[in-house]
Amino acid sequence: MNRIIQNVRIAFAVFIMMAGCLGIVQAAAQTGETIAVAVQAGAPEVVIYQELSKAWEEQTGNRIEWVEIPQQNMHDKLVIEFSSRSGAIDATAISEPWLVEFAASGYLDALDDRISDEDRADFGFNLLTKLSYDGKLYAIPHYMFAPVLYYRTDLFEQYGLRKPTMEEPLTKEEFLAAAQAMTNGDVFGTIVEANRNVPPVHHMIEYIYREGGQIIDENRQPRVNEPPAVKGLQFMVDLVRKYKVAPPGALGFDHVDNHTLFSQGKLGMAINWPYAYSIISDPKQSTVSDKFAIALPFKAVKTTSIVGGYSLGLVSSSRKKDVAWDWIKFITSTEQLYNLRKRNFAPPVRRSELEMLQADPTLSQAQREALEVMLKAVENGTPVPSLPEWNQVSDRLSIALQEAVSGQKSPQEALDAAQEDIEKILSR
Amino acid sequence: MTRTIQRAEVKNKDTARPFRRQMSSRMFGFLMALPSILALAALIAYPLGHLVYNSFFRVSRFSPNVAPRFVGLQNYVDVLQDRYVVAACGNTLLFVIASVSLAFIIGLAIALLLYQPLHGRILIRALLLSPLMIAPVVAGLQWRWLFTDQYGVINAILEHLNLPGPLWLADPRFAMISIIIVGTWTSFPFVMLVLVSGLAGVPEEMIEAATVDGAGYWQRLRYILLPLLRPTILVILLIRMMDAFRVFDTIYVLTQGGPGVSTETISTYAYRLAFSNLDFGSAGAMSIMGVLLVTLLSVLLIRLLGEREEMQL
Repeated sequence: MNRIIQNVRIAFAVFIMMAGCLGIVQAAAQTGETIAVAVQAGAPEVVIYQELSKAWEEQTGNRIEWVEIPQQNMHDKLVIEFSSRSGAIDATAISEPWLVEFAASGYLDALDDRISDEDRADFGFNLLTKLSYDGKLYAIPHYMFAPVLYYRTDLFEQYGLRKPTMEEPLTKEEFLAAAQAMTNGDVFGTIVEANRNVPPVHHMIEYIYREGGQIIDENRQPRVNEPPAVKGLQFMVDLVRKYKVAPPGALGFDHVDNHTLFSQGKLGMAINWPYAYSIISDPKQSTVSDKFAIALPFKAVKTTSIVGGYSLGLVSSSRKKDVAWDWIKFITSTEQLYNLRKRNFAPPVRRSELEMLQADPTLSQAQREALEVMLKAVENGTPVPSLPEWNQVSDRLSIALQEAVSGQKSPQEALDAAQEDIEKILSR
Repeated sequence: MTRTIQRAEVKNKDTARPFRRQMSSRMFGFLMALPSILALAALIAYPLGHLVYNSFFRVSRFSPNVAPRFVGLQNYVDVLQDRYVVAACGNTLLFVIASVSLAFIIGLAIALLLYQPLHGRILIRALLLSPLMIAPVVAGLQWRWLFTDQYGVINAILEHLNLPGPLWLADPRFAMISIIIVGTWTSFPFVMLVLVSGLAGVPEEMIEAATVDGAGYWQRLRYILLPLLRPTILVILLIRMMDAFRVFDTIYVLTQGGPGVSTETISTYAYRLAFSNLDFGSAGAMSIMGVLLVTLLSVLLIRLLGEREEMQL
């Protein structure tokens, strides 16, 4: 028996050694470099990137190590990593509000010497200007979005509601009336997102922008407690607390709950990002895939959304910048962006990409109309303020949003407190 | 020859371990403990010292080439004037008092139950230890799904019982209650485990003698068991209090400090200052004040439970 045990031990040790040697041989056989790319975990487009990038890996012999970070932690983790200058990440996805902060902190390399004139001309919508800081370009756009209004066509017909058009989006009064009409025991007219995260703050800012308000003016002065801003936040609060046309759990909701509830048929309308279109129109993921359409958000003083996007930047502490740039060029090429857009419907960022989409015979009429709406929303869109301190300002606005929606403070009180704190943040 | 050899043996014996004999036993003990001391210094003393140092400086994040600026006590002043720090301290104290008390009561009750000769008590004890084996982040995620108002199990059960299910995580009145529930659930097994061990050390003769003298269950508990367990209880409360003060994972997963700041604590706010805003100066000041607060509470607790012990002696 002892002899058997001894033989088993020897066999196991040999197996382990061989497995180790195999790993070493495999590592030695790889001819190219391995770059680390930080992306948002769980984002629909990331899965597609990973598949599309296999072609680049085969062409170049390089490998990508995907560093997937949950969206709510992404900013903090990237800031800690980049400020340590360890070089562990070579390229990174960047949400547009972070661009100025990262560029001002020296986390990103300028790309003016790397991007070709042809590519510069091909990116539309003034995107490259938005991704520049102090006159230098710091990221290449690959995903652009402005929230749109998703609405249930069957419920609009059932309740005799006017469907919005490109020329005449719903007015604020029509939006409220439609929400009230559609709210019954099973369905809520709309949804308000108010959890402690970035996307709900963006939605709050949209409500403020639609009333003609602003957050920070051109002199870096906060304007969050002025009447238009208070009016915008008050309307959000009233949707939950006064009119009760939005689910009461608003403080726990973000964009994922938004598209989930809409897909389950629990909402009559929802303002959400374009990424949700692919999910809601997929019969495998949605019970309302054939019963919805999108439109521009409602109009108060004006109809507008936050326009933002994700871009890709080159980390300044990377030791493999040329390889990382080669990948960025590949994944943001017209062909790859077109492939991405086919599977995750969203506005194109390149003119050549738009031409390819428009010429695509497989695009359905509904998709063409949706694309038109998304592009118009981008055109009408308003960006968030470009500030290095934006993350702190955004976090402070998140507290104000939660205090107002929970009823702890009135919108005026919540925004007065936010105004005071934001003034301190910007003056430090 | 033999005498020479014997003398040589004696001489060799005297010098056999010359190093040990020359050094005092205290020095020897110190040298033996030196690797651990160095490890502790590297892992605790240096970071703590660096934290204190940073708390007197302000870093300009957006001018990475500019050296940190000495600001004296300004970071401490800023923190004390920050309205959310006051809220964070209040929430922290509420969580500490509530979760430690509840965990102690539940842990003591179960320990006393397991003190009885029950069938299957070993299995019961093992099952009740399971919350201790789950990482706080995982526990937080599990409870998040339980508490969710739209698809959560707890509200679904309450609905079946025709009871209104609150917005556990979205209502400021219930958010901290939810955190306390999770904090209690993760920590009562520790209390139970230590008290079970403490009860095992209670002399049975004293219990038997008290029973013979006519003492009832509550009298035995109050006048014999609890006094004998006092040192154990003090250790439990101290450790639990320090753990509760540091609560972070549960809150980060469940509410992120919201709604508003109703569940923001010293740890979560210091994290936000340090890692979202990269304001290590303010975060350091806040952390130091937290350390001072927990030290003060620990001293009070020791004096409260320690004094009676001295009086008894």
